[in-house]
Amino acid sequence: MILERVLYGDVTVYDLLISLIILLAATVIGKAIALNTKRVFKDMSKDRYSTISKVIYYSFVIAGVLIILPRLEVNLSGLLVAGGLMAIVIGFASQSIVTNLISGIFLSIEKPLKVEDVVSIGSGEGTMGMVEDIRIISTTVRTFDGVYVRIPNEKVFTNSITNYMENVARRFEYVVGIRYSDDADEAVEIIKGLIEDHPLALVNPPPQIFVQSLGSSSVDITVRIWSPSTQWFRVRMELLWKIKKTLEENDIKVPFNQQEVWFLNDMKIKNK
Amino acid sequence: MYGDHELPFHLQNGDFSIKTEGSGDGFTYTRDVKEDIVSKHILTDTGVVNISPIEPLNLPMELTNALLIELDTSVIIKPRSKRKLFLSFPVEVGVSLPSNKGQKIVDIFSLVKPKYTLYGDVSTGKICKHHKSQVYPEIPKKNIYHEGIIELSVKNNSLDWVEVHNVVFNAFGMKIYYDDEIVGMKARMLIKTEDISFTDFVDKPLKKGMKKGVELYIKEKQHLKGNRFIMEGGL
Repeated sequence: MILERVLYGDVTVYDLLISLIILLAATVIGKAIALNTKRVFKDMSKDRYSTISKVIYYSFVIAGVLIILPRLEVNLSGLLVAGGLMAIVIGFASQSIVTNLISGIFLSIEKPLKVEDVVSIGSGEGTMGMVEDIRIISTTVRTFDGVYVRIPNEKVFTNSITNYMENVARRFEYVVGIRYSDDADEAVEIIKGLIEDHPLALVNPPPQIFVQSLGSSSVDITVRIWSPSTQWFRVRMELLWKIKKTLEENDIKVPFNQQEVWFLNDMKIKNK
Repeated sequence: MYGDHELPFHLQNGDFSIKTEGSGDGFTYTRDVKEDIVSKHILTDTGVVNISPIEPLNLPMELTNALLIELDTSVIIKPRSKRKLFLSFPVEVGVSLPSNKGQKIVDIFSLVKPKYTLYGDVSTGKICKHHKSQVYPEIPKKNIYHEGIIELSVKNNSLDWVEVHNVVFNAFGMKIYYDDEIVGMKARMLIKTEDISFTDFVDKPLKKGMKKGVELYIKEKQHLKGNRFIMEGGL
Protein backbone atom coordinates (compact mmCIF):
# COMPACT_ATOMS: atom_id res chain seq x y z
CA MET A 1 0.00 0.00 0.00
CA ILE A 2 1.10 3.55 -0.68
CA LEU A 3 0.69 4.55 2.98
CA GLU A 4 3.25 1.98 4.04
CA ARG A 5 5.79 3.06 1.49
CA VAL A 6 9.06 4.04 3.21
CA LEU A 7 10.31 7.52 2.42
CA TYR A 8 13.53 7.48 4.44
CA GLY A 9 14.71 5.54 7.51
CA ASP A 10 11.52 4.24 9.15
CA VAL A 11 9.40 7.20 8.05
CA THR A 12 6.50 6.14 5.86
CA VAL A 13 3.97 8.12 3.83
CA TYR A 14 1.53 7.45 6.68
CA ASP A 15 3.90 9.18 9.17
CA LEU A 16 4.23 12.13 6.85
CA LEU A 17 0.48 12.35 6.43
CA ILE A 18 -0.17 12.17 10.18
CA SER A 19 2.51 14.82 10.75
CA LEU A 20 0.88 17.12 8.22
CA ILE A 21 -2.52 16.57 9.86
CA ILE A 22 -1.06 17.38 13.32
CA LEU A 23 0.60 20.52 11.96
CA LEU A 24 -2.60 21.56 10.21
CA ALA A 25 -4.66 20.91 13.35
CA ALA A 26 -2.20 22.92 15.50
CA THR A 27 -2.38 25.79 12.98
CA VAL A 28 -6.18 25.72 12.83
CA ILE A 29 -6.59 25.50 16.63
CA GLY A 30 -4.00 28.26 17.10
CA LYS A 31 -5.80 30.47 14.60
CA ALA A 32 -9.19 29.79 16.19
CA ILE A 33 -7.94 30.63 19.68
CA ALA A 34 -6.14 33.72 18.37
CA LEU A 35 -9.37 34.93 16.76
CA ASN A 36 -11.26 34.36 19.99
CA THR A 37 -8.60 36.33 21.83
CA LYS A 38 -9.64 39.33 19.73
CA ARG A 39 -13.16 38.92 21.04
CA VAL A 40 -12.01 38.55 24.66
CA PHE A 41 -9.75 41.61 24.41
CA LYS A 42 -12.17 43.66 22.28
CA ASP A 43 -11.78 46.70 24.55
CA MET A 44 -8.02 46.66 24.03
CA SER A 45 -6.30 48.66 21.30
CA LYS A 46 -5.76 46.79 18.03
CA ASP A 47 -1.97 46.60 18.28
CA ARG A 48 -2.16 45.04 21.73
CA TYR A 49 -4.60 42.28 21.02
CA SER A 50 -2.96 41.50 17.69
CA THR A 51 0.35 40.95 19.53
CA ILE A 52 -1.30 38.63 22.03
CA SER A 53 -3.09 36.69 19.30
CA LYS A 54 0.17 36.35 17.33
CA VAL A 55 1.96 34.97 20.39
CA ILE A 56 -0.82 32.40 20.89
CA TYR A 57 -0.91 31.44 17.20
CA TYR A 58 2.83 30.91 16.86
CA SER A 59 2.98 29.01 20.17
CA PHE A 60 0.56 26.46 18.71
CA VAL A 61 2.49 26.23 15.46
CA ILE A 62 5.79 25.68 17.30
CA ALA A 63 4.15 23.09 19.56
CA GLY A 64 2.85 21.32 16.44
CA VAL A 65 6.32 21.28 14.87
CA LEU A 66 7.87 19.90 18.09
CA ILE A 67 5.28 17.11 18.18
CA ILE A 68 5.85 16.00 14.58
CA LEU A 69 9.66 16.17 14.52
CA PRO A 70 10.23 12.82 16.39
CA ARG A 71 7.66 11.17 14.09
CA LEU A 72 9.72 12.36 11.14
CA GLU A 73 12.86 11.00 12.85
CA VAL A 74 14.44 14.36 13.25
CA ASN A 75 16.81 13.98 16.19
CA LEU A 76 16.04 16.71 18.68
CA SER A 77 18.80 15.80 21.16
CA GLY A 78 21.46 17.72 19.21
CA LEU A 79 19.09 20.58 18.72
CA LEU A 80 18.13 20.44 22.38
CA VAL A 81 21.74 20.75 23.60
CA ALA A 82 22.40 23.69 21.31
CA GLY A 83 18.89 25.02 21.93
CA GLY A 84 19.33 24.63 25.69
CA LEU A 85 22.48 26.72 25.68
CA MET A 86 20.83 29.27 23.44
CA ALA A 87 17.80 29.28 25.70
CA ILE A 88 19.97 30.06 28.75
CA VAL A 89 21.69 32.90 26.91
CA ILE A 90 18.43 34.25 25.49
CA GLY A 91 16.67 33.69 28.81
CA PHE A 92 19.16 35.88 30.67
CA ALA A 93 19.10 38.48 27.92
CA SER A 94 15.35 38.62 27.63
CA GLN A 95 14.45 38.28 31.30
CA SER A 96 13.21 41.83 31.61
CA ILE A 97 11.37 41.60 28.28
CA VAL A 98 9.51 38.49 29.43
CA THR A 99 8.72 40.13 32.79
CA ASN A 100 7.37 43.16 30.99
CA LEU A 101 5.44 40.97 28.56
CA ILE A 102 3.79 39.00 31.36
CA SER A 103 3.07 42.22 33.27
CA GLY A 104 1.51 43.60 30.09
CA ILE A 105 -0.74 40.56 29.82
CA PHE A 106 -1.79 40.89 33.47
CA LEU A 107 -2.41 44.62 32.98
CA SER A 108 -4.63 43.74 30.05
CA ILE A 109 -6.61 41.33 32.20
CA GLU A 110 -6.82 43.45 35.35
CA LYS A 111 -7.31 46.74 33.46
CA PRO A 112 -6.34 49.18 36.22
CA LEU A 113 -5.96 51.85 33.52
CA LYS A 114 -7.24 52.58 30.04
CA VAL A 115 -6.09 54.80 27.20
CA GLU A 116 -7.01 58.46 27.96
CA ASP A 117 -7.27 57.85 31.71
CA VAL A 118 -5.55 60.38 33.93
CA VAL A 119 -3.31 58.40 36.24
CA SER A 120 -0.45 58.64 38.65
CA ILE A 121 1.96 55.71 38.52
CA GLY A 122 4.32 55.13 41.43
CA SER A 123 4.34 56.59 44.90
CA GLY A 124 5.88 59.90 45.87
CA GLU A 125 6.96 61.81 42.79
CA GLY A 126 5.50 59.24 40.44
CA THR A 127 4.51 59.87 36.85
CA MET A 128 1.23 61.72 36.49
CA GLY A 129 -0.49 62.28 33.18
CA MET A 130 -2.80 60.89 30.55
CA VAL A 131 -2.31 57.32 29.33
CA GLU A 132 -1.54 57.48 25.62
CA ASP A 133 -1.08 53.80 24.90
CA ILE A 134 -0.79 50.48 26.70
CA ARG A 135 1.45 48.20 24.66
CA ILE A 136 2.51 44.66 25.35
CA ILE A 137 5.92 45.66 26.77
CA SER A 138 5.41 49.23 27.93
CA THR A 139 2.85 51.90 28.74
CA THR A 140 3.19 55.44 27.49
CA VAL A 141 1.98 58.43 29.46
CA ARG A 142 1.83 62.08 28.38
CA THR A 143 2.43 64.26 31.41
CA PHE A 144 0.46 67.48 31.81
CA ASP A 145 3.44 69.50 30.62
CA GLY A 146 3.45 67.51 27.40
CA VAL A 147 6.35 65.16 28.09
CA TYR A 148 6.27 61.64 26.64
CA VAL A 149 7.07 59.03 29.28
CA ARG A 150 7.51 55.34 28.48
CA ILE A 151 7.15 53.09 31.49
CA PRO A 152 7.98 49.37 31.30
CA ASN A 153 4.90 47.33 32.13
CA GLU A 154 6.66 45.61 35.02
CA LYS A 155 7.03 49.01 36.74
CA VAL A 156 3.39 49.85 36.02
CA PHE A 157 2.20 46.51 37.34
CA THR A 158 4.27 46.44 40.52
CA ASN A 159 3.83 50.11 41.43
CA SER A 160 0.76 51.73 42.92
CA ILE A 161 -1.58 53.21 40.32
CA THR A 162 -3.95 56.06 41.11
CA ASN A 163 -6.56 56.29 38.38
CA TYR A 164 -8.43 59.58 38.53
CA MET A 165 -10.88 58.55 35.82
CA GLU A 166 -11.88 55.08 36.96
CA ASN A 167 -14.94 56.39 38.76
CA VAL A 168 -17.38 58.51 36.79
CA ALA A 169 -17.56 61.31 39.35
CA ARG A 170 -15.03 62.97 41.58
CA ARG A 171 -15.26 65.33 44.54
CA PHE A 172 -13.14 68.35 45.25
CA GLU A 173 -13.03 70.73 48.16
CA TYR A 174 -12.32 74.38 48.94
CA VAL A 175 -11.93 76.10 52.24
CA VAL A 176 -13.21 79.67 51.94
CA GLY A 177 -12.30 81.96 54.82
CA ILE A 178 -14.49 85.00 55.50
CA ARG A 179 -14.21 87.81 58.07
CA TYR A 180 -15.81 87.38 61.48
CA SER A 181 -17.91 90.46 60.75
CA ASP A 182 -19.41 88.86 57.62
CA ASP A 183 -22.63 86.87 57.59
CA ALA A 184 -21.66 83.22 57.15
CA ASP A 185 -25.24 82.20 56.31
CA GLU A 186 -25.30 84.70 53.46
CA ALA A 187 -21.93 83.46 52.22
CA VAL A 188 -23.19 79.85 52.27
CA GLU A 189 -26.30 80.86 50.28
CA ILE A 190 -24.21 82.72 47.69
CA ILE A 191 -21.87 79.75 47.24
CA LYS A 192 -24.85 77.37 47.02
CA GLY A 193 -26.37 79.53 44.26
CA LEU A 194 -23.11 79.55 42.28
CA ILE A 195 -22.83 75.76 42.48
CA GLU A 196 -26.46 75.37 41.34
CA ASP A 197 -25.73 77.65 38.38
CA HIS A 198 -22.73 75.64 37.21
CA PRO A 199 -23.92 72.89 34.83
CA LEU A 200 -21.08 70.52 35.65
CA ALA A 201 -21.41 70.68 39.43
CA LEU A 202 -23.52 67.58 39.95
CA VAL A 203 -26.99 67.68 41.47
CA ASN A 204 -26.40 64.27 42.98
CA PRO A 205 -24.27 63.56 45.06
CA PRO A 206 -25.30 66.93 46.48
CA PRO A 207 -22.70 69.58 47.28
CA GLN A 208 -21.88 70.29 50.91
CA ILE A 209 -21.31 73.82 52.18
CA PHE A 210 -20.83 74.38 55.89
CA VAL A 211 -18.84 76.30 58.48
CA GLN A 212 -15.99 73.94 59.24
CA SER A 213 -14.03 75.89 61.80
CA LEU A 214 -13.54 79.21 63.52
CA GLY A 215 -10.01 80.03 62.50
CA SER A 216 -7.58 82.51 64.05
CA SER A 217 -8.32 85.10 61.37
CA SER A 218 -11.40 83.84 59.56
CA VAL A 219 -14.58 81.83 59.68
CA ASP A 220 -13.72 78.85 57.47
CA ILE A 221 -16.43 77.56 55.16
CA THR A 222 -15.83 74.15 53.60
CA VAL A 223 -17.26 73.62 50.11
CA ARG A 224 -17.43 70.09 48.70
CA ILE A 225 -18.55 69.60 45.10
CA TRP A 226 -18.93 66.51 42.91
CA SER A 227 -18.36 66.76 39.18
CA PRO A 228 -17.81 64.34 36.28
CA SER A 229 -14.26 62.96 36.53
CA THR A 230 -13.46 64.15 33.01
CA GLN A 231 -14.42 67.75 33.89
CA TRP A 232 -13.20 67.90 37.44
CA PHE A 233 -10.28 70.28 36.95
CA ARG A 234 -12.27 72.71 34.81
CA VAL A 235 -15.10 72.96 37.34
CA ARG A 236 -12.65 73.37 40.19
CA MET A 237 -10.87 76.25 38.45
CA GLU A 238 -14.03 78.03 37.30
CA LEU A 239 -15.94 77.85 40.56
CA LEU A 240 -13.15 78.95 42.89
CA TRP A 241 -12.68 82.26 41.11
CA LYS A 242 -16.45 82.80 40.75
CA ILE A 243 -16.92 82.23 44.49
CA LYS A 244 -14.18 84.69 45.33
CA LYS A 245 -15.52 87.38 42.99
CA THR A 246 -19.17 86.95 43.94
CA LEU A 247 -18.46 87.03 47.67
CA GLU A 248 -16.50 90.25 47.24
CA GLU A 249 -19.30 91.77 45.17
CA ASN A 250 -21.55 91.12 48.15
CA ASP A 251 -19.04 92.74 50.51
CA ILE A 252 -17.97 89.41 52.00
CA LYS A 253 -14.20 89.43 52.01
CA VAL A 254 -11.42 86.94 52.48
CA PRO A 255 -9.45 88.41 55.42
CA PHE A 256 -5.70 88.71 55.78
CA ASN A 257 -4.09 86.92 58.68
CA GLN A 258 -4.62 89.00 61.80
CA GLN A 259 -2.81 89.10 65.09
CA GLU A 260 -3.60 91.15 68.18
CA VAL A 261 -0.48 92.33 70.03
CA TRP A 262 -0.67 93.48 73.64
CA PHE A 263 2.10 95.61 75.12
CA LEU A 264 2.96 95.65 78.79
CA ASN A 265 3.44 99.41 78.78
CA ASP A 266 1.31 102.09 77.18
CA MET A 267 2.46 102.90 73.68
CA LYS A 268 3.35 106.53 73.18
CA ILE A 269 3.17 107.74 69.64
CA LYS A 270 5.18 110.82 68.95
CA ASN A 271 4.30 113.03 66.06
CA LYS A 272 7.25 114.95 64.78
CA MET B 1 -40.49 78.26 13.48
CA TYR B 2 -39.40 74.62 13.54
CA GLY B 3 -39.08 73.07 10.08
CA ASP B 4 -37.32 73.84 6.80
CA HIS B 5 -36.36 77.40 5.88
CA GLU B 6 -35.15 78.49 2.44
CA LEU B 7 -31.96 80.57 2.52
CA PRO B 8 -31.85 83.47 3.26
CA PHE B 9 -34.27 83.88 6.16
CA HIS B 10 -34.70 85.78 9.39
CA LEU B 11 -36.49 84.40 12.43
CA GLN B 12 -37.18 86.42 15.53
CA ASN B 13 -38.53 85.04 18.75
CA GLY B 14 -38.74 86.62 22.18
CA ASP B 15 -35.85 84.49 23.39
CA PHE B 16 -33.65 84.18 20.30
CA SER B 17 -33.08 85.30 16.74
CA ILE B 18 -31.67 83.45 13.75
CA LYS B 19 -30.56 85.36 10.69
CA THR B 20 -29.02 84.19 7.44
CA GLU B 21 -27.84 86.98 5.17
CA GLY B 22 -26.08 87.05 1.80
CA SER B 23 -26.45 85.74 -1.70
CA GLY B 24 -24.31 84.45 -4.56
CA ASP B 25 -21.25 82.89 -2.96
CA GLY B 26 -22.72 82.15 0.40
CA PHE B 27 -24.64 83.14 3.47
CA THR B 28 -23.76 84.28 6.94
CA TYR B 29 -25.60 82.48 9.69
CA THR B 30 -25.99 84.45 12.91
CA ARG B 31 -27.79 83.22 15.98
CA ASP B 32 -28.36 85.29 19.11
CA VAL B 33 -29.60 83.72 22.35
CA LYS B 34 -29.50 86.11 25.30
CA GLU B 35 -26.43 87.82 23.84
CA ASP B 36 -24.69 84.50 23.22
CA ILE B 37 -23.96 85.02 19.54
CA VAL B 38 -22.76 82.37 17.09
CA SER B 39 -21.79 83.31 13.55
CA LYS B 40 -20.86 80.99 10.67
CA HIS B 41 -20.45 81.18 6.89
CA ILE B 42 -22.44 78.73 4.81
CA LEU B 43 -20.87 78.47 1.36
CA THR B 44 -23.73 77.58 -0.94
CA ASP B 45 -25.79 79.34 -3.65
CA THR B 46 -29.16 78.11 -2.45
CA GLY B 47 -30.36 75.66 0.10
CA VAL B 48 -32.59 74.81 2.98
CA VAL B 49 -31.82 75.02 6.67
CA ASN B 50 -33.73 72.82 9.06
CA ILE B 51 -34.54 73.92 12.59
CA SER B 52 -35.67 71.10 14.81
CA PRO B 53 -35.75 69.94 18.40
CA ILE B 54 -32.98 67.40 18.97
CA GLU B 55 -31.99 65.03 21.76
CA PRO B 56 -31.29 67.28 24.78
CA LEU B 57 -27.83 65.88 25.44
CA ASN B 58 -25.48 68.05 23.42
CA LEU B 59 -25.05 71.16 25.57
CA PRO B 60 -22.86 72.40 27.11
CA MET B 61 -20.94 69.39 25.78
CA GLU B 62 -21.52 65.79 24.74
CA LEU B 63 -20.78 64.26 28.10
CA THR B 64 -23.35 61.50 28.30
CA ASN B 65 -26.06 59.72 26.36
CA ALA B 66 -28.43 59.50 29.35
CA LEU B 67 -31.17 61.87 30.44
CA LEU B 68 -32.40 61.65 34.02
CA ILE B 69 -35.77 63.20 34.77
CA GLU B 70 -36.29 63.77 38.46
CA LEU B 71 -39.96 63.82 39.42
CA ASP B 72 -40.75 66.73 41.74
CA THR B 73 -43.30 64.52 43.46
CA SER B 74 -42.67 60.79 43.42
CA VAL B 75 -45.21 58.41 41.90
CA ILE B 76 -46.36 55.23 43.65
CA ILE B 77 -47.67 52.55 41.31
CA LYS B 78 -49.94 49.63 42.12
CA PRO B 79 -48.58 46.09 41.55
CA ARG B 80 -49.33 44.55 38.14
CA SER B 81 -50.73 47.77 36.71
CA LYS B 82 -50.15 50.17 33.86
CA ARG B 83 -50.49 53.94 34.01
CA LYS B 84 -49.80 56.83 31.70
CA LEU B 85 -48.29 60.09 32.85
CA PHE B 86 -46.71 63.15 31.27
CA LEU B 87 -43.33 64.65 32.10
CA SER B 88 -41.40 67.56 30.71
CA PHE B 89 -37.90 67.47 29.22
CA PRO B 90 -35.49 70.25 28.26
CA VAL B 91 -35.43 71.20 24.59
CA GLU B 92 -32.28 71.68 22.58
CA VAL B 93 -32.69 73.26 19.17
CA GLY B 94 -30.60 71.98 16.29
CA VAL B 95 -29.97 74.03 13.17
CA SER B 96 -28.83 71.76 10.35
CA LEU B 97 -28.22 71.46 6.65
CA PRO B 98 -29.76 68.36 5.07
CA SER B 99 -27.15 66.15 3.41
CA ASN B 100 -26.99 62.75 1.75
CA LYS B 101 -25.66 61.19 4.93
CA GLY B 102 -28.32 62.76 7.15
CA GLN B 103 -27.71 66.20 8.60
CA LYS B 104 -24.78 68.56 8.96
CA ILE B 105 -25.30 70.39 12.23
CA VAL B 106 -24.66 74.12 11.95
CA ASP B 107 -25.57 75.11 15.47
CA ILE B 108 -27.19 73.82 18.64
CA PHE B 109 -28.65 76.05 21.32
CA SER B 110 -30.93 75.79 24.29
CA LEU B 111 -32.93 78.21 26.37
CA VAL B 112 -32.83 75.91 29.38
CA LYS B 113 -29.94 75.90 31.83
CA PRO B 114 -28.15 72.55 31.57
CA LYS B 115 -27.32 70.53 34.64
CA TYR B 116 -25.79 67.11 35.22
CA THR B 117 -26.22 64.50 37.89
CA LEU B 118 -25.01 61.05 38.82
CA TYR B 119 -27.34 58.07 38.61
CA GLY B 120 -26.21 55.18 40.76
CA ASP B 121 -23.03 55.14 42.79
CA VAL B 122 -19.70 56.77 42.08
CA SER B 123 -17.93 53.65 40.84
CA THR B 124 -20.63 51.96 38.76
CA GLY B 125 -23.10 54.80 38.13
CA LYS B 126 -23.65 56.97 35.09
CA ILE B 127 -23.40 60.70 34.55
CA CYS B 128 -26.76 61.93 33.21
CA LYS B 129 -28.19 65.19 31.96
CA HIS B 130 -30.57 66.32 34.71
CA HIS B 131 -34.04 67.77 34.43
CA LYS B 132 -36.63 68.25 37.14
CA SER B 133 -40.20 67.77 36.04
CA GLN B 134 -43.66 67.93 37.46
CA VAL B 135 -45.87 64.92 36.88
CA TYR B 136 -48.85 65.86 34.70
CA PRO B 137 -52.01 63.79 34.23
CA GLU B 138 -52.49 65.20 30.73
CA ILE B 139 -50.43 67.06 28.12
CA PRO B 140 -49.49 70.41 29.70
CA LYS B 141 -48.98 73.58 27.69
CA LYS B 142 -45.30 74.44 27.36
CA ASN B 143 -43.11 76.85 25.42
CA ILE B 144 -41.93 74.60 22.58
CA TYR B 145 -38.47 76.19 22.62
CA HIS B 146 -38.00 75.54 26.34
CA GLU B 147 -39.61 72.24 27.23
CA GLY B 148 -41.03 69.20 25.51
CA ILE B 149 -43.44 66.57 26.79
CA ILE B 150 -42.79 62.87 27.33
CA GLU B 151 -45.83 60.64 27.40
CA LEU B 152 -44.61 57.87 29.69
CA SER B 153 -46.40 54.55 29.93
CA VAL B 154 -45.37 52.98 33.20
CA LYS B 155 -45.98 49.29 33.65
CA ASN B 156 -45.37 47.79 37.06
CA ASN B 157 -44.69 44.12 36.47
CA SER B 158 -43.66 43.48 40.05
CA LEU B 159 -45.84 42.06 42.79
CA ASP B 160 -45.35 45.04 45.05
CA TRP B 161 -46.12 48.75 45.14
CA VAL B 162 -43.27 50.70 43.59
CA GLU B 163 -42.31 54.32 44.16
CA VAL B 164 -40.65 56.11 41.26
CA HIS B 165 -38.50 59.18 41.91
CA ASN B 166 -36.42 59.28 38.72
CA VAL B 167 -36.68 58.08 35.16
CA VAL B 168 -33.52 57.62 33.08
CA PHE B 169 -33.55 57.46 29.29
CA ASN B 170 -30.96 56.54 26.68
CA ALA B 171 -30.53 59.13 23.95
CA PHE B 172 -29.98 56.36 21.42
CA GLY B 173 -33.57 55.81 20.48
CA MET B 174 -35.19 59.15 21.34
CA LYS B 175 -37.89 59.94 18.81
CA ILE B 176 -38.82 63.60 19.10
CA TYR B 177 -41.82 64.94 17.18
CA TYR B 178 -43.00 68.53 16.93
CA ASP B 179 -45.71 70.81 15.65
CA ASP B 180 -46.59 74.43 16.38
CA GLU B 181 -47.84 73.63 19.88
CA ILE B 182 -45.93 70.67 21.24
CA VAL B 183 -42.50 69.09 21.18
CA GLY B 184 -42.93 65.57 22.41
CA MET B 185 -42.03 61.93 22.47
CA LYS B 186 -43.51 58.68 23.71
CA ALA B 187 -41.64 56.48 26.12
CA ARG B 188 -42.17 53.33 28.13
CA MET B 189 -41.01 52.26 31.55
CA LEU B 190 -41.20 48.62 32.50
CA ILE B 191 -40.72 48.07 36.21
CA LYS B 192 -39.34 44.65 36.98
CA THR B 193 -38.63 45.02 40.68
CA GLU B 194 -38.50 47.76 43.27
CA ASP B 195 -34.98 48.67 42.07
CA ILE B 196 -34.84 47.63 38.42
CA SER B 197 -36.69 48.92 35.40
CA PHE B 198 -36.20 49.36 31.65
CA THR B 199 -36.97 52.48 29.69
CA ASP B 200 -37.17 53.00 25.95
CA PHE B 201 -38.96 55.10 23.34
CA VAL B 202 -41.82 54.48 20.98
CA ASP B 203 -41.45 55.85 17.47
CA LYS B 204 -44.88 57.50 17.37
CA PRO B 205 -45.99 61.13 17.72
CA LEU B 206 -48.07 62.37 20.65
CA LYS B 207 -50.68 63.68 18.22
CA LYS B 208 -51.50 63.12 14.58
CA GLY B 209 -49.76 65.38 12.09
CA MET B 210 -46.62 66.03 14.14
CA LYS B 211 -43.31 66.07 12.25
CA LYS B 212 -40.30 64.03 13.26
CA GLY B 213 -37.30 65.95 14.57
CA VAL B 214 -33.70 65.46 13.53
CA GLU B 215 -31.98 62.49 15.19
CA LEU B 216 -28.35 63.04 16.06
CA TYR B 217 -27.90 59.81 18.01
CA ILE B 218 -28.20 57.77 14.85
CA LYS B 219 -29.19 54.19 14.20
CA GLU B 220 -25.72 52.92 13.34
CA LYS B 221 -24.71 53.60 16.90
CA GLN B 222 -27.83 51.96 18.31
CA HIS B 223 -26.58 48.55 17.26
CA LEU B 224 -23.53 49.06 19.39
CA LYS B 225 -25.11 50.71 22.40
CA GLY B 226 -28.73 49.53 22.38
CA ASN B 227 -31.58 51.98 22.66
CA ARG B 228 -33.01 51.23 26.05
CA PHE B 229 -31.76 52.13 29.47
CA ILE B 230 -31.60 49.64 32.31
CA MET B 231 -32.23 51.41 35.59
CA GLU B 232 -30.37 49.25 38.08
CA GLY B 233 -29.48 51.99 40.53
CA GLY B 234 -32.98 52.41 41.94
CA LEU B 235 -36.10 54.22 40.81
